Amino acid sequence: MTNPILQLKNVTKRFGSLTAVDDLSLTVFPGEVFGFLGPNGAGKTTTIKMCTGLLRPNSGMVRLGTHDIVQEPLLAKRLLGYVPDNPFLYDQLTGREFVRFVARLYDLDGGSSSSVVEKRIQEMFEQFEMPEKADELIKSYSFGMRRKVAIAAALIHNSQIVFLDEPTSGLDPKSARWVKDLFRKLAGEGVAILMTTHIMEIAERICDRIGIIHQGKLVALGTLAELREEAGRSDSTLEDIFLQITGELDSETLDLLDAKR
Amino acid sequence: MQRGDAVTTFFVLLANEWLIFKNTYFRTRRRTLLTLGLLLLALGAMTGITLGAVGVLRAAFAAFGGMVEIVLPLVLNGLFLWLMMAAFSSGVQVVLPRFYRSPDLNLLISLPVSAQALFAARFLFTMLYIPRAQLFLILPILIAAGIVAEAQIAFYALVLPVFFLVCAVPAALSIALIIALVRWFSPKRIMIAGGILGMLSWLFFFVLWGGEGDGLIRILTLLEAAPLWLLRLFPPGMAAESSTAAALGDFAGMILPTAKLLALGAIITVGSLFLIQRLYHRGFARLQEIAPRKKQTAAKPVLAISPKRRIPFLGRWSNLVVVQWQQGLRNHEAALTALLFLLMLIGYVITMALFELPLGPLGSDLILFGHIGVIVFLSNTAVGIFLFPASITTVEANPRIIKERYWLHKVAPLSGHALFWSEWLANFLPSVILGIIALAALNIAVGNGLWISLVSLLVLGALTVGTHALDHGSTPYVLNMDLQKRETVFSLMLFIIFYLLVLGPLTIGQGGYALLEPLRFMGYLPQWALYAATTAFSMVVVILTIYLSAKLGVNHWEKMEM
Repeated sequence: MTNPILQLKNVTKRFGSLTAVDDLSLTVFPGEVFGFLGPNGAGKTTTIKMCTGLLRPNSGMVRLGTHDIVQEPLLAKRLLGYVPDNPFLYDQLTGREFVRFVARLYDLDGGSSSSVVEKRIQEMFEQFEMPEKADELIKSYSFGMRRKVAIAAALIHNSQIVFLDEPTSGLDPKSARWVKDLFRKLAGEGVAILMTTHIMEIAERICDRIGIIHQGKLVALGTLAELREEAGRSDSTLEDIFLQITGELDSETLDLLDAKR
Repeated sequence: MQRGDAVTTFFVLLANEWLIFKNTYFRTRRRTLLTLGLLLLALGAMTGITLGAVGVLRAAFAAFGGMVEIVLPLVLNGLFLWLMMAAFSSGVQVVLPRFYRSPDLNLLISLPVSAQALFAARFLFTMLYIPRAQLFLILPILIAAGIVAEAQIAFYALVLPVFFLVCAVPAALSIALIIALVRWFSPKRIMIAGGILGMLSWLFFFVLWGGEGDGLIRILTLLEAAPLWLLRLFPPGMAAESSTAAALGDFAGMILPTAKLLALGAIITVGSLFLIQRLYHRGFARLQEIAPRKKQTAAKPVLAISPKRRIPFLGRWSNLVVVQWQQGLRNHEAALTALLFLLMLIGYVITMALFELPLGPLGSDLILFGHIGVIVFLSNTAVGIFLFPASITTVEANPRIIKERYWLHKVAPLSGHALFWSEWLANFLPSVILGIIALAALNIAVGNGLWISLVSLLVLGALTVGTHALDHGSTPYVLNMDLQKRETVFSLMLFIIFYLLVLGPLTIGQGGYALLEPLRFMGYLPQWALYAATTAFSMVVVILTIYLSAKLGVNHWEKMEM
């Protein structure tokens, strides 16, 4: 069995009296697209932030590969890429300069020659269908292009796991499709993807496994088929299952669904 | 929209502003205590300014034979004139961010609320916001004038209302002026004009308080020559007449000028409010149209850095330094603001070179060290603004950027040490170069000798090294403790303490020998030993500051959560 690239064991995060993430345990494997779902305020972003070192858990362990993010942050961070929901990018840099900057933060120049890094950056911009925009300032980019640059920066160092917070929100259908295809392609190359989303159709179509978090607790985990089985509704959509599990589906609708079965 | 609705909206908006203020400073017990603590510190600093001003004003009063009836109105005229200038320049600088760039405006304007009410609420709050710095700096000096003149209690009761009335006129005029100008000029040009006005206001300050009130005496002499009836036509004259009457216990005499000032303030404030409302809405619409046009022109390929070109120094530290510089050079708004501080620096050097200031009680060294403090402050500020990775208006619109900008550094495998030293290096190098050029020019202009010039450059280097370390060490602490709103006061206190600890002993060592002579035992201490001991003490303070700042910064960087 492949070793997991991400392991969370009994992770808890509290903000004052509020427990944002409560005793969460989770494992993600290489080449897996993991969908992390939950209502607003359920603890999705907090979990991702703990996995990327932006927040420290109050208790529990977050391990990337063999490295604990709290004990060995620099080694653990080498393995991950992160694309926040609305990242602060340096408006006065061009897309190429920004990605190059990130590459140097990961010390890619130290390990490979500059031309190799430059070639990789060029390839990424071509792959991301924006080679002609690479030398324009980020401030002139559309929302979708900013998102693509952030993804490029998260992938430049051959990350083994990429965390994405709402990667398709605000994207037009073409860009959203492109992002989804990219995730499947990356997973095919062995990269693990952990993404949050509110769009059930995306999770249903591209995620290998899905975790549902509600009020800080992981309330469901498995493939779509497993979740359906758990919910006792073999023909339900993920949306129905999600609403049922999070208690946001009223009894009338539940009856209707039962009648349909 | 009914008038009643507009009035209701106005009060809803005012209540909202109040709520934001309350939540910012008094939401929890901890925040309240922190706010009260900082208020106490501010009051302490104001007391210090009052005591310092008492000394200078005594000299000014003495220069006019100590005749309170003659000198007090002149002093007050000068102070209120300065207050007007300062409030006007402060107004010019805050109107754009508050009326056109505020992040909540798009939301508020899209809501079905009365545009008049929205404008009126913003106008009122801006009027109250403008004199905040002057309250801290000029009010203590006005109180000092009362102390020196042995004023009646009525003076102290009147001084605060008069202070706000004097501020109201330039504040309203500055709002009206900028809103009118937005129709024809770009915000960038207006910002430059505002900066230049600010610079003039500070130059006036230096002229006024340089030396031992020498500049003040010159201004008073000029005012003395002006006809009194002419002075009384303007708000500073009215305020001076009213305050003088209160100080001398002439209560009947204070009624008419106070009433005139009140009427003038009310007419100008209400007049500005009604006259510029329409202009404001047109200007706002115009700026909305400008934004997309500008974006199109910005979309040219940037040729400055070729994709194939290797950046000279490799490694992560230099990477961070180079990127900060790249951004600074392209961030035109920040570059222009930094340029203004540079102009202030040049203006300061020229003014100080032209006005030969008399020696203070500790000799010329004290003045020189004072110059170094100002030069370090101006060069550091210019560089700090230049290298910040976002425009000032963006930060004003979203102060969270100060912390959010670190997300990438935090996610990347970057140690706290690498970040601290790279940020320090990126800021320190240009600051120290600017400072050395400015100080060397000043030393040459005032004819300082080689020895004192070299010592002054060493002191400048030490101060620059230390202040940047303090700045970059305290930033993660400030962000972790959520002190952004109080960062200015917090940093100011840290820097003042650092300056005092470094410059204090040096001043005593260099110029204070004579001062300490009366303490007999000092007479047995050779001058060279005093030089060496005080210099060594100051250098130890600098080294300790760097060490502790790095420790604090790195420690809080590791702990930082976002």
